[in-house]
Amino acid sequence: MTRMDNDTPQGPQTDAATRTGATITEIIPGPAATLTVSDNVSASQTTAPAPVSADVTASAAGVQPSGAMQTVMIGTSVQTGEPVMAEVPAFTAAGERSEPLLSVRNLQKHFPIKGGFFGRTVGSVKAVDGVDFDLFRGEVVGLVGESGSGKTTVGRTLLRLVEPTGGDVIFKGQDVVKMNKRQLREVRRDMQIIFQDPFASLDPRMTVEEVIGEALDIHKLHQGAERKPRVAELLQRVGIRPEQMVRYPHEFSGGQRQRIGIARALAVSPDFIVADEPVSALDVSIQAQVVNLLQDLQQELGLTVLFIAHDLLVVEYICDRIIVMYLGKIMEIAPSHQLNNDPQHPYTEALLSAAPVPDPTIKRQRIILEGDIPSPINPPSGCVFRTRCRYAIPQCAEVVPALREVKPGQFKACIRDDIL
Amino acid sequence: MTQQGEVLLAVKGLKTYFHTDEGVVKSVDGVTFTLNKGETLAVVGESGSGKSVTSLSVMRLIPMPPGEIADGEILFNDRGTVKDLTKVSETEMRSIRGNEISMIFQEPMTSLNPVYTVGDQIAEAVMLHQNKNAKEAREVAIEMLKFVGIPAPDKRVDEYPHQLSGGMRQRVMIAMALSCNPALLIADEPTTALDVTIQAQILDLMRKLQQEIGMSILFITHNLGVVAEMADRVVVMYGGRVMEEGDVIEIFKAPRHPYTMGLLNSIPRPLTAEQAADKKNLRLEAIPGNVVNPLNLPPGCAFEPRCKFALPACREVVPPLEDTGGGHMARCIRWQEFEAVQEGGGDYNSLHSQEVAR
Ligand SMILES: Nc1ncnc2c1ncn2[C@@H]1O[C@H](COP(=O)(O)OP(=O)(O)OP(=O)(O)O)[C@@H](O)[C@H]1O
Ligand SMILES: Nc1ncnc2c1ncn2[C@@H]1O[C@H](COP(=O)(O)OP(=O)(O)O)[C@@H](O)[C@H]1O
Ligand code: SF4
Ligand code: SF4
Ligand SMILES: [Mg+2]
Ligand SMILES: [Mg+2]
Repeated sequence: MTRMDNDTPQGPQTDAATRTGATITEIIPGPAATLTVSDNVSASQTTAPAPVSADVTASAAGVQPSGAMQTVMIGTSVQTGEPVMAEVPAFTAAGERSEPLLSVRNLQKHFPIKGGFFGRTVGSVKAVDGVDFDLFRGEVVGLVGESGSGKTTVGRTLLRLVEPTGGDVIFKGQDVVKMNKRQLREVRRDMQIIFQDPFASLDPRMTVEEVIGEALDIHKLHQGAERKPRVAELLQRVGIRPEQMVRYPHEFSGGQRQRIGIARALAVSPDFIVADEPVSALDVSIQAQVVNLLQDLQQELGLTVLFIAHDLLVVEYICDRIIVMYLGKIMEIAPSHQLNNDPQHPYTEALLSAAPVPDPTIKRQRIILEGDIPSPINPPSGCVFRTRCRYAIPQCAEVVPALREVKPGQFKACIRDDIL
Repeated sequence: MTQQGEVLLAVKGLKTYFHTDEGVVKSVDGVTFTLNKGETLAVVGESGSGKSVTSLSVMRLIPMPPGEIADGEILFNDRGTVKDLTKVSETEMRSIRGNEISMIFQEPMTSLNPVYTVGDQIAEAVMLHQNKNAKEAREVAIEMLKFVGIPAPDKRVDEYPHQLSGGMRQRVMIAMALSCNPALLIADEPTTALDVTIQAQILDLMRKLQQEIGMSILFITHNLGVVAEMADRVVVMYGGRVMEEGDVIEIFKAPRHPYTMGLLNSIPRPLTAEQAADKKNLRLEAIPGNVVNPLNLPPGCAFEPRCKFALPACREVVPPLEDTGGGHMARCIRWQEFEAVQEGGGDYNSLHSQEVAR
């Protein structure tokens, strides 16, 4: 499917009656598809270990209909927590890659909600709810999703600027989640963060030299006579005249402040950077300057970057792969060009369709997602996207979709393989 | 589309200045454009280019002092009678504001009253402009909420602004703005604070409502994607001046001003498969330097310090806004040369300042 239109080619219709024991047949809006669930293993049944087997017809736009099928786990049952298996079109998996620089496993952050007379915990905001991904050395990976989907919280928990509720963050073979204070301080030399407005959280009475120097002091790097030349070198590198180090943040424009924020993050020579919407607040002409600078630095220094943003075109431009989040969970992970041109998850499809295209000669039908992102306090059961998904079927409420590889290097958390 | 149809709003030589401690800020410095009935005119430009001050001037909501409409006319076609909004009495302006021109802003919270329910706020606007009692006005309020696509409007009508999401608040704002059936809707960055998914909902709603009601929209934004989607015509502003104006397709396909070209080149486009396969050498074409400071406008062309086509002559006088044909206006002394390139003669590179100097 291309990003410019949304009339998906019709998949081959499978007559439900020709399948053994078929009972549940759903004709759903959008591209025609038939999902058949065998009677003896219906979604609500509790027999373990493999309670559900669903035959899903391959859509013409999906995996090439080689005919081969494989049985995989497509999710876990809401009721029993047991794996839900299904037969889906087979594909050749992507080759093994080198050891990741960073591996995130089942990461969770639930913010407690206090209430009542004694400030007791009465619930929790499931900002991040079981997230898995790997970042390989030298890779730039985008993290996108609507406001409130949990992007910032993921970024901050990786560095333990926010304490995770559960899960592991393996950085260079060590679990950041289990580190003590001293180890943390050590590891933060290698892991840095760039904020949307780096000065919003800083003392306005500090000069640029102090702001960058502080990052060096924390790690006792380039102290004494080396400090000023190091600050000058960093400023030079990000395109700020070194003599301006005596100035205060408010004396700089938004783009210049972002350059200084980048210099600050690079001061300690990290391997890994979380960039949380570093260009979202900038004017387009300045955004392009900062995007170019980030690309230069990333290539020159071989940085690994998690780039949080909401503009999928900017993300495609600088990222090798993209992670799409919704309501604390990952919906899809894919190489950027593949994600933008052949999304496999309905949420990705909708996000791409919603973005306005800067070409007035293209008039297209867009997918309008109804309503807002639901509250992360009470996320929908099963697939969290189902309340806004135009392909949702009853099973989507019963099964928590697993993130599984559906094309080489492309992962999605959706139980249906007959739609995109 | 070009210059046809009945003119609803004609801004001529508008100058809006602010007198500050640091000097006179020429936020709007001789702005001219027209908006036809039923048409959407987008005003684009980076922050500080004077978009909001222009729209607030039309609404006559500029704080005075420190502000001042120093010169120019704002001609508004009020059901057949042309009025200069810079001259009408405050009473008349209030009536025009309530009945003929409505405005929605980027952050609806600033214009919604937090202590009243959304229903009361819409009902108040309805009672003010339509001859209705409180009970009828409440019914209209529910109708309006439904009209702008708010689910369960009979429940939402009794909620307070803070209980609504950003997208729903923007819908409430639109409902209020439309409750008087305006001839002109001014929308100042109405979707800038929203997610793309919610932005798509609001843009879709605005388009539908415009078709139903037939109003004109002055749409202020810095997002060129939104411009492409919404506008019939476009005004490009920089440093308080109009740099270019024209039909939306002309502006995107045949820009005659280096600032417009720069903006268009700065935005990332969908990559081709070849580009995606070799991204290492891919760079965006950024505009060098910073957005101009209206306290410190250069003597000649406001864009000159950042323009790769600048010539010594560009520094001498402010270039006039010229008609390049068919109502496509450009404020650049070299527009004919760009036109020639677009029509198949030579290339832009040969027009770069260094090349010309050789
Ligand atoms: N300290 C906190 N206490 C309670 N809830 C929080 C806290 N921080 C974040 N949240 C909630 O967690 C969810 C995810 O927030 P987060 O800031 O990570 O989203 P995001 O994807 O970065 O959004 P945006 O695009 O707006 O930056 C939201 O519902 C948010 O309200
Ligand atoms: N009340 C004010 N006092 C002084 N300067 C102002 C005032 N309002 C706007 N300005 C200045 O006018 C210029 C144009 O502002 P504005 O119209 O808000 O730009 P934008 O194109 O971003 O909407 C800016 O430099 C801004 O700082
Ligand atoms: S699993 Fe979720 S994304 Fe997939 S079809 Fe069901 S509701 Fe839609
Ligand atoms: S007048 Fe000169 S400086 Fe201004 S935009 Fe045209 S070429 Fe550039
Ligand atoms: Mg965030
Ligand atoms: Mg503005």
